Amino acid sequence: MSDCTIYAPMLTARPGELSGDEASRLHVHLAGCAACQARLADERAVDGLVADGLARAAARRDFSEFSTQVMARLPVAAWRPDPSDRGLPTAEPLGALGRLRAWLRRHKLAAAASALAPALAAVALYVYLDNTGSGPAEFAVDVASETLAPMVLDTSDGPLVLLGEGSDGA
Amino acid sequence: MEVDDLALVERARAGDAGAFRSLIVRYQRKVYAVALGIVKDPDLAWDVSQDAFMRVHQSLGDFRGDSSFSTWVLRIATHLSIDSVRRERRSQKDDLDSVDEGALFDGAEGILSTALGSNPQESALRRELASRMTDALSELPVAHRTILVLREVEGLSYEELSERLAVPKGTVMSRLFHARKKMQVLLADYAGLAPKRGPASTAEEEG
Amino acid sequence: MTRLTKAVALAAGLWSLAPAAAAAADSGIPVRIRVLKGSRQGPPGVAPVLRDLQAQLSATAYVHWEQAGDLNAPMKFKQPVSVALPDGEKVVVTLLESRKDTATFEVQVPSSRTQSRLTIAKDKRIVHQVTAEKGGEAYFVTIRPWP
Repeated sequence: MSDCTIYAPMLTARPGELSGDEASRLHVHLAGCAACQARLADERAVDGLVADGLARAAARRDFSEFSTQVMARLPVAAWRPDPSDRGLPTAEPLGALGRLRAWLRRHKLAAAASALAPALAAVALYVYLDNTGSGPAEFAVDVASETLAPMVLDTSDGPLVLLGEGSDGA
Repeated sequence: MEVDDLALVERARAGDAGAFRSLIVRYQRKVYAVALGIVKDPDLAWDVSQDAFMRVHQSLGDFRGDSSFSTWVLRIATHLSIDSVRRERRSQKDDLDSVDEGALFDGAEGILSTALGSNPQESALRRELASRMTDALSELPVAHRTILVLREVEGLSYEELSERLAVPKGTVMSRLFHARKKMQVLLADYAGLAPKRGPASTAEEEG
Repeated sequence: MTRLTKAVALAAGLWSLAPAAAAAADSGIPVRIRVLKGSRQGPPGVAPVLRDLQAQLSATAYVHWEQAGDLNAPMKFKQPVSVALPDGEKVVVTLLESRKDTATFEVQVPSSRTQSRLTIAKDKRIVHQVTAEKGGEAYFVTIRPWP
């Protein structure tokens, strides 16, 4: 069994990671081993390459939506309102998923509107939500409109009431 | 970096959403890089990276500033990455932690250093090898990808690796040796350098 | 409208409010009402100040969202609050009742004779369209008890 099996793995040790004894024995081995010298040269040549390669892959990817997606997943109650947020700051993208959902809702709305009576369109919806361990509570949503067809959507953050096109065509 | 990390953490802790967002933007790619190295799949790496920032947010109160924010967030990222490949890990044996003659001599010593020349950091070949790094990493078993990322990107010492992976220092060193060897053989192969594959290159056999 | 003009418009307030006497706990609760504009045109996105509504807003067909008004004040029970909309219309919001952690509101839109009664839980919010879509845009209000 050659000494290389012991010393080759030591070649990439950093200062302080080898004991004094290990370090001096490695030094002695290297002085007489061309193969390990070549291995050491290889290690030096590719030093930092793993980090570079991964950084490169990260640089190629589009991160423009990343932070918005993270922020959207954080609990809402975490943030204080920003006093400098007045007027119209720059908007952030909703993302492809948001737009797709919006498109689907739009079509659902149109379908519901055509099915509703023209004079008075009323939607009553009982939504059961689980509420802090005290068992499900009943939350009522009751929307009526004489001219616009309302649609109520339940979202995890609360009810969303949409008004459709006018029943006499708008 | 106009505002330093600690100041942003303080403001984020106090409820400043913009400060937290700035931290995300500052570290998103670094976090993604470690995640990608360990989990391989870019979409999974994206999700794990987001989870890492959510974990950071949950633990903002625990961050004391005795390590740098960068160290802290990367540790969270590698921890979550390792968790998410736990199943892959279990299905692969911890192979070849022992260094024997067969693992050692394949006649490829010095090929890379010769090809990369006297100024390896600047060479075009190095850039080419860097661009193939994710391919090479995906061909390694997860235990080897992991130890390479922990060592090379998170920057852990032998002692820290020994603790993190719950193996003795000797195993750390030999596992790293194997991981590097395989990675270098793969890269040399991609670059058309290695003339033939010897007994030590087991990448194909292990998949 | 320039940014400055808009800021002034916001500061001047777009609505009238019933006299705000110091609200005792049993005569009312704090409520935040905001006016939003959703459009089909414009860069897709939600103004930062509206980020907390992102989930609800993204369920609509409108891709671009801005805030057009913000009121954060105690509301008294059964006292209607009239909220003026930038297009000249108005919405009337009334706090009907509240229990331990739910509140019931009535939202009336006179121009379309729309009337809604909604009960929601403490950590949720109502997002309610209040104008029909015109030129690819529509106004909404969002109501949150105990903001």
